[in-house]
Amino acid sequence: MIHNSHFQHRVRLFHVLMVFVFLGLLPKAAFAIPAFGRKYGKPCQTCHVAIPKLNDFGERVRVNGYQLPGTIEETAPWSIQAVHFSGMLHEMFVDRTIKSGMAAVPPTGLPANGQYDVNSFRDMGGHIWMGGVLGKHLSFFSSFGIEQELEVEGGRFKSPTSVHWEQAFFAYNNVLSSGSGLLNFRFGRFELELPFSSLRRLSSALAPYEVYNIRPVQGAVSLSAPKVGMSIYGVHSFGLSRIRYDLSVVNGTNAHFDTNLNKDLYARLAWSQYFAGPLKKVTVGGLGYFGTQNLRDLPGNPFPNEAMIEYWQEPEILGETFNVHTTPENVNFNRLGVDASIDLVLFGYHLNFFGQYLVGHDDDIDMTDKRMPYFAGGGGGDEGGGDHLHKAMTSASEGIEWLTRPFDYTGGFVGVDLVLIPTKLYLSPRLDWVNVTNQWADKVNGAYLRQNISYVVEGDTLSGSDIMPRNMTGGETDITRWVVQLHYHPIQPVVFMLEYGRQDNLFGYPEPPERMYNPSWAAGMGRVVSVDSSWLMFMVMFAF
Amino acid sequence: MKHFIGIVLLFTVLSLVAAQDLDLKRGRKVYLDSCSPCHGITGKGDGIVAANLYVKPRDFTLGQYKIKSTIDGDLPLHEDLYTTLSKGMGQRNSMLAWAHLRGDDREAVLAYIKSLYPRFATDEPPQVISYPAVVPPMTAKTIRQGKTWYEGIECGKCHGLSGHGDGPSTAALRDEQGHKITPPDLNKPWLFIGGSTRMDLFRTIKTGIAGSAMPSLDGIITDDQIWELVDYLAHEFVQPGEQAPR
Repeated sequence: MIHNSHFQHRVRLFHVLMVFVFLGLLPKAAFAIPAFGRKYGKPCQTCHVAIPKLNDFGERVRVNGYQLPGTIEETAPWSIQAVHFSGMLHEMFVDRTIKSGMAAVPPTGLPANGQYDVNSFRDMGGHIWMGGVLGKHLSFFSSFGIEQELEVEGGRFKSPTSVHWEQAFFAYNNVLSSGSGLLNFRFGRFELELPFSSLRRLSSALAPYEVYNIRPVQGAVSLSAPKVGMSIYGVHSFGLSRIRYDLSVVNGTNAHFDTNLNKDLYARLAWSQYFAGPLKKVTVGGLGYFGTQNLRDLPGNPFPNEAMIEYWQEPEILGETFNVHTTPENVNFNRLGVDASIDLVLFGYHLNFFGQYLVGHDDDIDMTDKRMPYFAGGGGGDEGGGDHLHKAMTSASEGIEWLTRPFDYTGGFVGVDLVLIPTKLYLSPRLDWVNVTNQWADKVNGAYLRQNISYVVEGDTLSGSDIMPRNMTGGETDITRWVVQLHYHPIQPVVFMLEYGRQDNLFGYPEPPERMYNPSWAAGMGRVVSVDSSWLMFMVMFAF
Repeated sequence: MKHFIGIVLLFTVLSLVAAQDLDLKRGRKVYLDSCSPCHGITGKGDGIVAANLYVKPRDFTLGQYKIKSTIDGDLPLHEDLYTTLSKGMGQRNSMLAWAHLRGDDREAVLAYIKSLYPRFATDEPPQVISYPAVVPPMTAKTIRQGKTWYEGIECGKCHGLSGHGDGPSTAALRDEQGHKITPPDLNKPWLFIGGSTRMDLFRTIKTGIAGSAMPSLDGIITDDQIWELVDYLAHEFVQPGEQAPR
């Protein structure tokens, strides 16, 4: 019975890992905004290195409220005759191999040899953007996406259509009428002024800037996700030097309204020096994100809802009332990073080297009582779990002992964007890496938690170490990925992208089915799992 | 009294020099903020984004300007530069229309750009090309005559017989820096860097486009013959002033 329980447990874990794998494929594509090209009557490369990455001039335009640097358009808001909008359609073909190093059994209908192959058209969909100048100091931007995604649920494929509003903000630009974007305010839902924009990166959705994406628990803050709030940002030049700053106050998670009374703070400062000659520009910068979040209330994470709490507190089942977290508990976290970027022109070829290093720390991501009951196994994924789902419990005689588990990671990426044929062909290799500590399978304060505990399974008292299947995690701590893309612009509105990538290990956070509470997941933290992946991807994008 | 007049003159001269320096300083700031990403910090056309532009930016230190209303070999008028700065240079070229730049900033940045090429300070005033007092009317005869010039001067070698910029010499065209260039499609006047009115066409044909493969026809054919060529172009290919479809 125990064997079957573990078997089902592993099947379920693999299910959710597959879900993660596919969630990782969610398109987060951004693109050039042809509306601006139409407004100014200029080709894309005026503002873009390769679509969608902005060049130095495009960044100056963006920070100046979508107006040319040094200018302030004086159009009155009530005289605006047209709101510029544009769109983009895209489709991706992926040939991907995923190899699982876990001692796990794949879901029904999938290969049992630990290798999982994806060979399909996917991520078909589109975006609609609106943006531009609304008046002398007003600008706005909005991005709306409709995409069909692939998911695996219960071992079966699904392809739901997702509609999401990525960004929607307006800005009050050039408060000091400098025309150079010295002081601007922004309100709404926007991407933080990260050193390297996730929405405008050259790599596909298969290869995001991983270090920006790491989240210790599902639903927690991801740096790259657009956030609701406001920011003060701008740029100031001193001759050949420029200082760029951003100070944002945001809700952290904003999948819904934030779950705590505190706001998160993001700050960025970067200094750029321009040069004559082959070396064009050097930028160094730093960022800091300081936040608070209530893990229990984050959407999708496995902390108990009211139904669970009621279930656990049934005296006839557990014999006493267990103390679980029923009140909001805020924990602090921070992200600190440094970055650099160098622009060179060698033999007529433009190269942009860039790199990011980031350190992340969460004070506590494991807001559970060590005595908290948990399910030792389960099957089927249905509520209640069927015959194989059991309610287990720790020794009830001990006092409350809250588990405190900090979470730390370091990581970054280095890459180069190379213009092979101006306006036509671009090459972009990049290496991402992340090192995670204090994840679920790791020791906390020098000891494995939940070891040597007694628990009850269907009336049998069992003793032993933690039944959590640590071996399924593989005990990995490192994620590495390298990826290389070729971008080809045969004509202005069309982009072909060919990408090859390899990734060692994934970062996952299996999600239990609704109403299932399982401490092996309730730790809720992400873990590096021994699932390797490689892919060849072809994508076509058409902007209009 | 002489001392007083001398002091006033000296003060006036110093004020003018100081004002000019101030103008140049302001012009340099505008230049670095708005122009240097393409034209480069020193004006050599080697800005940080230049390598990825289809049409390479001007090297201001060489004094070659594409759009001007002066005779071959002379520098452009200040008004030529101001117009180019304000209107931009067509939709294939990345030179934007800086009409929203404040007027005094445009003047300041032009003063700075001219300071990058010493001949602006030393040359005699440039000689403006001759324009007819009255624009001659377009007739069937001038159009027919213009076609003979289009064929006789071999415009089609670059621009193609159908005006689509697909002539036999197109593949070999290079600008003065060796970068590949292509002639504009004459059927798409929004690509013309010097404007597409009949007067613009007259000026461009007469002065040529410095630094490109477009020669000046001044002295090769007469002004009247240039007008006939303009009439043919306007009748056959160009809808003067036409904007790109939106």
